[in-house]
Amino acid sequence: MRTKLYSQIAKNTFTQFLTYRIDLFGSSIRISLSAIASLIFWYAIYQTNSDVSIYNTKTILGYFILMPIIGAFTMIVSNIGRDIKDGKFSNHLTKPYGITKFFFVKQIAKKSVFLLHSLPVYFLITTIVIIRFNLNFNIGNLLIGLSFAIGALILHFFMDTTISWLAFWIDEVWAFGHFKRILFVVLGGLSIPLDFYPRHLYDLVSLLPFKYIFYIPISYSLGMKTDTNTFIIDILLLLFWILFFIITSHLLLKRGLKKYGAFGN
Amino acid sequence: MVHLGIRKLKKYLQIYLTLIKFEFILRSTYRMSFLFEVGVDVGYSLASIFFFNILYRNINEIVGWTYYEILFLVGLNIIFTQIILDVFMANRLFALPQKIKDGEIDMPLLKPLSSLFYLTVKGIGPSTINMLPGVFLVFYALVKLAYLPNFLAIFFGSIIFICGILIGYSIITIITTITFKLNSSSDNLPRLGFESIDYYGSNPHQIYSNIALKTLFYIIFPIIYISSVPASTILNGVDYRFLLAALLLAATFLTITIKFWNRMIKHYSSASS
Repeated sequence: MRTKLYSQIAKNTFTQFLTYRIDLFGSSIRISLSAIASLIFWYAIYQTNSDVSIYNTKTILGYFILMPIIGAFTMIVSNIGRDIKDGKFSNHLTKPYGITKFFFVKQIAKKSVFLLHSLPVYFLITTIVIIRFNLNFNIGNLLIGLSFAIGALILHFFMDTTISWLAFWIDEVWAFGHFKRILFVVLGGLSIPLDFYPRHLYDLVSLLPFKYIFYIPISYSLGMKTDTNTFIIDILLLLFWILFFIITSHLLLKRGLKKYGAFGN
Repeated sequence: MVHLGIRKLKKYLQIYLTLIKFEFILRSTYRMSFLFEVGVDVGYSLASIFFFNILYRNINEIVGWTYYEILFLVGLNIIFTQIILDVFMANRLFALPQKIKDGEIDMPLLKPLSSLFYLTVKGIGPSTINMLPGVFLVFYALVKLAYLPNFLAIFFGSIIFICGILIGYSIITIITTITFKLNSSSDNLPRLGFESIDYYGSNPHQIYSNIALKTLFYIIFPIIYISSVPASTILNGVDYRFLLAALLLAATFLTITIKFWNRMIKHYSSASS
């Protein structure tokens, strides 16, 4: 019965977001342009510097061409904070479903629509780059990277809900979405692989959850991480952070609902 | 004719000063939101500086640009980005698709002034404080380079920078104006325009080394005049070819923008009123 309920929610969300096809396609074009800009920039760097950090021209181009594909799986955009501020959140309180489960199912459905429209664009660009620069990818490594990306999606979802529930107390929760993105840039490998960082900084950043959104899935996809111990530690740390954000999110939601005044509705 | 032109300029200047006044009043009403906005913009600027700091621990130069020269470029780019965001994007170009969809641009079209000006230009406000990291970075880089640019370099560099702003504004507006035909409320088009000039315009222009990229980014989509060429002019002296090209391209793009806007606005249909 519950499974049917959440399946219907997913189906409705899927249908709803199919009407925004042009917008989704537009988003994937924007992300692709960002990836191409990175490729041009890093290619220019490696023309005058043959090996920088542990990367050569092929691996650094591989890193940034995988960025939009991995991001298509791991990135989350939600409006939960805005719904709370607008009072629309009260609609969910009267419905017969778990709030977190509802938003998770909605997010998966929205993600499916986005992947449907964006992956063809990304694969086209990736194919051109692979042929032009003679890049090589291993299917096994890509599958491992994809597995980490799915784990990162779950992590990011609970990280996002933790931030979103702050809307019960803070008006400017929109700013925290931007701060989160800044953390991805600085600590997540979004702008530069973490391997470029000085050792002490790398060790510190490795303990944090942000690396899982881009750096870890991409590194494994490229076959840059082959040590079994590192693999086990990365999995355990990922599970730890998922559990941490599940608990934090649940506690914040519980406290926030007590405070929620449903203004605006 | 000249007298009419001066009168028109005076009129728009007066309107612009009023827009600035409104902007300050609005910002002082939502102070917390303004502070968070400053925090976000400063955060992005610091992230950019952090990126180059980490990169230059691994390399010595990027297409001939040393670390402090790149910081100078980054500072100039931050200033450019803030001007574009503050004057043209926030509540103007970003909001235009939704306003078109909702039919909310009837009133601006009826006013006795240019609809392009009214709908795409906002009064510069307290958000210009977000430029400060860029200004600081520019001066910091010059101190570290132990270099004081001469008057001509600063003068012509500033001219090219202003041309870059006009080119950037024109590109974003041309792309956004397509919304009149698409009737989509999404802000994808203005974001596409802004992000394109931000991603490609923040790099040293020498990275566009082959003939295809040079044709694209020097002429067709001339984003090199946004920060790289102005920075290069101030640091290395003026290349008169770039100066002439910047002036020509700014005039051309502005003219195309005005003509394209006037053409596309004919597709607008009011929702009510």
